[in-house]
Amino acid sequence: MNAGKMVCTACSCLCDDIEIEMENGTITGIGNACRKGSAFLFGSQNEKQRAGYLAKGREVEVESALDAAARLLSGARRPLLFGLDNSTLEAQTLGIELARKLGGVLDDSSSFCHGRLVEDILAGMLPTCTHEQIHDADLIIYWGANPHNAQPRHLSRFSLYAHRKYHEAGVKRHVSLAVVDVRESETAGVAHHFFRVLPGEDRDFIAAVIEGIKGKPVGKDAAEFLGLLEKSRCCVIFAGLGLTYSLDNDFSLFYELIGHMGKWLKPAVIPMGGHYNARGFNHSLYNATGYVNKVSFAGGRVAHGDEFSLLEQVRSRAADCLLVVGADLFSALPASLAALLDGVPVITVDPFYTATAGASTGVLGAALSGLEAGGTAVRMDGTVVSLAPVKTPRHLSDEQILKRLLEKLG
Amino acid sequence: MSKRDKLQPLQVFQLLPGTNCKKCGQLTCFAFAFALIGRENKPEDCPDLLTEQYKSSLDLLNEYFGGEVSVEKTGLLIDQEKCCGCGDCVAVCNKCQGTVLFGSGVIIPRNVPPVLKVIDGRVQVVCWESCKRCMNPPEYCRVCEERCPFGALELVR
Ligand code: SF4
Ligand code: SF4
Ligand code: SF4
Ligand code: SF4
Repeated sequence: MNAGKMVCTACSCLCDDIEIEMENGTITGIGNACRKGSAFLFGSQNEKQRAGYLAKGREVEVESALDAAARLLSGARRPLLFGLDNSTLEAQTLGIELARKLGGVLDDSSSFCHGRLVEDILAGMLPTCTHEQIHDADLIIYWGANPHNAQPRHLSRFSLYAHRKYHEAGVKRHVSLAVVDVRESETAGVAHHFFRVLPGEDRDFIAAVIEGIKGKPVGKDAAEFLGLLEKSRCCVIFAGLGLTYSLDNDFSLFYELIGHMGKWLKPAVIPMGGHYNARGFNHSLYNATGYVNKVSFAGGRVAHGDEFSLLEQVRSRAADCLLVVGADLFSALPASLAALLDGVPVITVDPFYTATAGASTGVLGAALSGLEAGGTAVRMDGTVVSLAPVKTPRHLSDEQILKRLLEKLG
Repeated sequence: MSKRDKLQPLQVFQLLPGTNCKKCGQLTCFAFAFALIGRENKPEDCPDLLTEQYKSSLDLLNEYFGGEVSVEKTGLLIDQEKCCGCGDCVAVCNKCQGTVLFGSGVIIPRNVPPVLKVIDGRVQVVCWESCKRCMNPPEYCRVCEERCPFGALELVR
């Protein structure tokens, strides 16, 4: 039986052309999804990988798991809510409400990823565009990103190969692909131009290009890069984690370059978020508070600052209870930091039984967005995508879980 | 990049005995090299390769051509282990089927069903008749092979 099309939520491409074949409620075939997406969807049927409802390590009924989680949260004085990048916009809104009600701290992975770029895009300080506008571009740059690993279908669905004027055999090339990275990644291997920078030296490369713009003599790579920019009239830069890490979240020089480029071409920057609704989280929180992450609701008012980032909260042992929604915190944190969470009760909401779920006091298994639960999400380029489930869920959705928690907290 | 490295016919030839003894059924060792690449022969079809003297050559050849593979009717060999299902080959194949209007960048599509499709996360040939290599006369297109970032595709004929 063909159950029709669905949206894959395994990465921030949110591919909406996934064909699903089902027999007796089990997926038997998947069309168009990449290996990552297919493994995610098939994996969701492996009951061993899925999270159930646990309280203090024991399997319990949904209701008691919710009660136990609500008790932990209401008893906490400085609760920290982390995640929501893999939740729908609807669930994110409820998550923000929950953090507000608890007077807790709220953060997501964007505080150490692309949050800064999204914030500046939302504030209108950084030019951007959507994937649909890629057809105007004559130069596509992946900077510090290897989509073939993280967002495998990005080139074929949204960038080079989706470009109306891309053709291998054309007499004139209408759109070029350039990659700036520390290694010759898969994407770099198929790029028309590849610029290798040494690890951590993106800043020097940018500075050299800016020098070149000012008419000063520069090295071969910077000159070649500048040559591409000079020929371009519209350029889209996909900013990956490599760029963020290399610049250590200080994008001033990068913005200066974009500013210079704006004098003769139309530049646009799209941050390549990883989780399917990471950008959505930034949008939701920005709409609610004016900040994209690192927010505290303590004392009934909104505060923002680096001290409210997950890493600082863990480092300073600030939180006395942790609610993690759709993030595998314990796999991501270095062991030395994870050790600081010893003794802090953790509640995990996740479709999968992750390492974090394994280390949690309470576990609330959730339905898989896109497959088993609906809602809306924001693709990496800022486009809203609606998710329509094709399978009957056995778990509550994270939206329902957060709603129930809110109700229980009164 | 090692992932995309491929053995060239001359390199394969250099691993063979070079006596042109015809015992493999091919007229020359060079023809055998092509037959290996096209997966029409297996390394053990050459008796001399099985002797001690050629052990290292045989090991190397087996590494490349020893495994059980199925070559599609288009001559396309798909390495399911390497393919990540990115769909780049699907997209470029669909594009290369069209004709570019000179200078304008506008592409007129050739209305045929797609050759390739990603199923369960790996690419598969679903309509080989659409491949330009199956046209009459054939067009020796290699776009899908050239654009695969993982070296998962090889046109062996
Ligand atoms: S590219 Fe991302 S969204 Fe698209 S099928 Fe692959 S994992 Fe899913
Ligand atoms: S059997 Fe071996 S040595 Fe003889 S022609 Fe064939 S490849 Fe060459
Ligand atoms: S064969 Fe290569 S280009 Fe085609 S889907 Fe697989 S990895 Fe992508
Ligand atoms: S050889 Fe050309 S026409 Fe045939 S499948 Fe590959 S890209 Fe398509």
